[in-house]
Amino acid sequence: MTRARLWIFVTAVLLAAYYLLIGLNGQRLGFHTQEALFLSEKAMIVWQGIGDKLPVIGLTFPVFPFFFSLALSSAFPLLGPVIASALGMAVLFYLVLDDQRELDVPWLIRLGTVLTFFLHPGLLYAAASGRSVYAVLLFGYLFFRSLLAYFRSNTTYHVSLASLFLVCLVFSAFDFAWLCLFLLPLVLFMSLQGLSLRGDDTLIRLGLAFNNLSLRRKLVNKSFALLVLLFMLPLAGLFLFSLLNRLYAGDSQYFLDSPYANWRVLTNQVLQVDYVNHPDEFLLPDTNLLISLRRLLYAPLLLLVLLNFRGRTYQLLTLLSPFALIEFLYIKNPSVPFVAEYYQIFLVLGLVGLATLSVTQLRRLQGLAFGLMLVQILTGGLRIATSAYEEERTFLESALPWRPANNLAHRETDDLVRIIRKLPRNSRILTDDATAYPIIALTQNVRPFVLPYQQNYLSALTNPDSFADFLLIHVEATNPVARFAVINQAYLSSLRTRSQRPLALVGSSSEWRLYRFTKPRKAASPAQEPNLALAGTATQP
Amino acid sequence: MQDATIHTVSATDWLREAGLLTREQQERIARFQTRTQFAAVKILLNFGYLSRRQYERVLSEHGYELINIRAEEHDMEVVSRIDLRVADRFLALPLRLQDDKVVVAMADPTDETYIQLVRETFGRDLIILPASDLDITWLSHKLLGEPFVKSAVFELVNRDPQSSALITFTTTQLVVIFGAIAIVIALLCLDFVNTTIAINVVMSSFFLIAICFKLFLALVGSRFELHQAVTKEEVKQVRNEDLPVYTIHLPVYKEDKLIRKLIWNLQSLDYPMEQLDIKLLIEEDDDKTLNAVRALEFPAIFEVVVVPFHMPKTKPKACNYGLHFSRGKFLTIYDAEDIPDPDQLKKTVFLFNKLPENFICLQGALNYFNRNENLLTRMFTLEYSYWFDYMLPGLGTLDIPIPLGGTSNHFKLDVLRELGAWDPFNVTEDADLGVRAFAKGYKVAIVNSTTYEEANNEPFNWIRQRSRWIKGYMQTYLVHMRSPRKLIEKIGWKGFLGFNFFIGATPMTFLLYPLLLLFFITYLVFDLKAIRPLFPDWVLYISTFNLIVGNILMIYINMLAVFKRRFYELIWFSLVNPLYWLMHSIAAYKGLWQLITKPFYWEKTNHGLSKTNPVAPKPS
Repeated sequence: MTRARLWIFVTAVLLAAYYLLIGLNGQRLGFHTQEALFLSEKAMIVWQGIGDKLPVIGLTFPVFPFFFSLALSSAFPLLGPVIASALGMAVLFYLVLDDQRELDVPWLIRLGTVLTFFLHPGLLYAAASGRSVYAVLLFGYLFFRSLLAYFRSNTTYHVSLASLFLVCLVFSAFDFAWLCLFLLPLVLFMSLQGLSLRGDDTLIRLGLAFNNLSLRRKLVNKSFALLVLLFMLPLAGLFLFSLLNRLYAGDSQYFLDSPYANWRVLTNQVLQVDYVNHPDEFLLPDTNLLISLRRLLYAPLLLLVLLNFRGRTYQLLTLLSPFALIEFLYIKNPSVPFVAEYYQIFLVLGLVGLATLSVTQLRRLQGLAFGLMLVQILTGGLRIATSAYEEERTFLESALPWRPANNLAHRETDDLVRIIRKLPRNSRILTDDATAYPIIALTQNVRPFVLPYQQNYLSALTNPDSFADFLLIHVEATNPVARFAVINQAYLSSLRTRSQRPLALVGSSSEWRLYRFTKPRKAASPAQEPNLALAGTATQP
Repeated sequence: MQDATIHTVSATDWLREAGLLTREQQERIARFQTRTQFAAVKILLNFGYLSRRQYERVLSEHGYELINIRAEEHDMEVVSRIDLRVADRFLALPLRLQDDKVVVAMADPTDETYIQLVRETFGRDLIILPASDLDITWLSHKLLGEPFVKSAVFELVNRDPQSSALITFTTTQLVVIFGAIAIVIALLCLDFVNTTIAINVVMSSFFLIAICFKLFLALVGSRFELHQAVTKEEVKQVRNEDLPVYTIHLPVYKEDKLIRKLIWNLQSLDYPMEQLDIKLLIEEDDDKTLNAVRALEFPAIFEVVVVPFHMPKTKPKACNYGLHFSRGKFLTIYDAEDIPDPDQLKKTVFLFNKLPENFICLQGALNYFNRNENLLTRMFTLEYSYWFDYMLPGLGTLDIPIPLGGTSNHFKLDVLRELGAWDPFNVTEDADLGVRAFAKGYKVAIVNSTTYEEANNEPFNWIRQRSRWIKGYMQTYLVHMRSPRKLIEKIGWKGFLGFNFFIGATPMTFLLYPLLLLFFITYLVFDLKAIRPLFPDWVLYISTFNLIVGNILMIYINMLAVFKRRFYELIWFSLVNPLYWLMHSIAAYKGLWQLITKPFYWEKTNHGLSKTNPVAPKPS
């Protein structure tokens, strides 16, 4: 390892530690993202659970972030996804800086990059939240870097790498599969690049190629071959994954539609239902037509890159394809606001593009680029503070400050978790982890829970008192997601009418209620009761 | 039969009189003779000056009718007084004593130098039998070639028995193999279900890992897709005067139909003819090819070397034999139907000079001129393209032993001899030699030049050829894995793992493939309840994943193959790869069977079956 590389490596390690510190502080202050909790809970099922774990291991989506956090969660059940995101972002930092070193990018731009990674709120969120944003940014960077490298090298190597990284990208965020649509025209240009034609102008080259039978045949054959090479792996990967979903869950779209496999399902459904019921009231930050321009506002460095790509049609088209993707996604699903990765990816695109400019250009632009990087940090803060998602919006105030924990909701949840932890050994809690995964993850012990991955779950639902001692219910009034859980208020009512055993409330928070199946005639012994005095704000009905 | 008289006029003068030779050519031949000590007739007939028929006609016009000396009596005491190399140089052989004279078969009855030599050796006058140079060559090698052929067969065994495939399985290997079988059987008896599950998972995981390694190699290789080890400009810099003698071995067996094509292909080589040392290695019992050479109506540009009968009858034995008569600084091997790029030899000379001393072999890429003939040739082309254009460069980049391809491997001749040359008992002697060279600290590089061959277009012929290759890989693996510890010491961990995954895993994946497919189909398609316990959900998941991903990746590697040579139209055919692999599996089982029953048997591939005009595609 050269000295320069060693420095980058050391900085990357420090950066990972810094991200981890933010993540730990966030968890201390009660900041958890839904996805991180979801991934933690699935990892706990894998490591601790007893039951049919195969669908959990094999069908949980997004696949790559899940597997990364799975490995780490064996030692750190709750922190696994956060460590994975911190490491992932540090790896991204290393790659970006190493690329800049290789290309001899001016120091001011490198400094700007370092500052961006240390200060940009969006990147801090990606690194410390435990969400899969880091995987999207990492694989997105590698994918676009490979594509742009192809225009320089013209070797199959870069197309193949791009294809492999596209697989990783799609299995980190499914919507990126639609990117294939917008790369189709690009493939034609890529093929054109390989033909020996006179002139630099793309349109003239295209004209020449189409007006000559032999060249036209070559162009078509090469375009098709490139198309297959670039998209075969992601498409075949999706086909295989759908097949496995079909085999093990009876539904080829299980990974996209089931809340047990994908945390986004319920969030999106709630948003869609709200949108359908109250379209006029439902104002989203991305509803204007200038949706792409917003991205440029949050990532102005990319604008600089695009302006310097004048005349380089292939590169320009490559970097513009994600804009087409988000416009498409917005048309496809206008009710669901874009999550962080669909903003931060443009930040990364700016860095990819920057590394494609010539050193002369970079030297000329370094001051401006540095300034824009600083602007990005500010606009990034603005973006995250105005996000449509609460967990993004509250990140800056919930995870960054170094202060004692005083979040009320956090305290409530913590108290409920504490009650669950103090339940007698061998207690069984019936719940539905479609929505209850945050509580399960926070207890860091999946063993007491009777969950849908277990084969006796259906029996437990119909005969709960025979299979469980406790019942954890999501309260719909305070969280619309609860409507999608099997064990909810309606289930509780039906249970009350048919069960022989009355239910006693053991603990609760604003969103959750924990009931115990009491024995009808004989009072429970004090030793078996949880120590409710320690339960803080847990309330009695 | 004529008594020797002193000739004042030589055969070359007669040829000049007949208008078949110019003065300038005659002078050039004389200069060549001074350099090589070859008889004029050898130069005339083997270096493109005139055809044998023309020569016979001129001799006949001067009263010399050729005699079939193969039917002549010979006395070994007389014959053996002349060294084979001398007989080969003069194309003449003393046969017996008769009437106190020495009966000598001579291709050029006017060769005074040889006549003088025989007189001095035997102290007698000569009776000259004018004979075909081919018959003299045949007879002299048959009668005098035994020590050379013994050396060709046993040199490596005597010098480095550990590297020879003469013993297929060592005792330790047999103990390990049968021990493993016994353990598996015992485990099956103790716990049938779990053992079967374990075997299934191990097999399918191994299958996927081996293919992932191939993909990795192909990706590493694709990085240097456009790299030109030697550029056209560099080739132009090469001066003919500086070129060394280059030996080309052409081992053939019953390739009579290809001899004409062979000459055309060799004539297109951009290398000074007098610096070429081309040896057509013909087996003693192969009269078909010998007669085809005899019947040529145009000048030949190679020397015939007849390999005396000795088992095993393999290509490496023939090449080892040919080595005794080779005089080049570098050496390469071509098959009879090969069409090398014209500048291939110049490129290799340039690259050898450019690379460090320890690079002793350059492997040229192989591809096919008849790729569009049928599905099999298309698949074969895809396979060769990814193998030579992507995987071998990948191996070279990662510094892992490169199994050399069958032809177009160019050696430094002195180091080749030092290595003990090819192992005649190994049916993929080239792959073995690549590993052996690597183990001795030598390196192999890839040269950016292609030799176009004839792709096998007939399934049974294909299976024969492939079964030999796979058997050879098994032999090579067994030879080098006799002592894994020593192998690691020689080639390091990286080389060891690469060797295991490339040479060892290749036959293994072909053997496993139909089993995995069979399990999978039996379970999924027929849903047989009897085997359901052997496929718990997690096993089915892993097996399905491994099998499908493995196949997809192999298809992908095939697709990658079309790019370097711009064979884009072949990309769809990559999808047929799973079926093509079944053919590999058939060949692999045949190879395995032969490894046990007749390990040294050389499955002959029939060439010349293609109906395509053998023209090399334009280099991309």
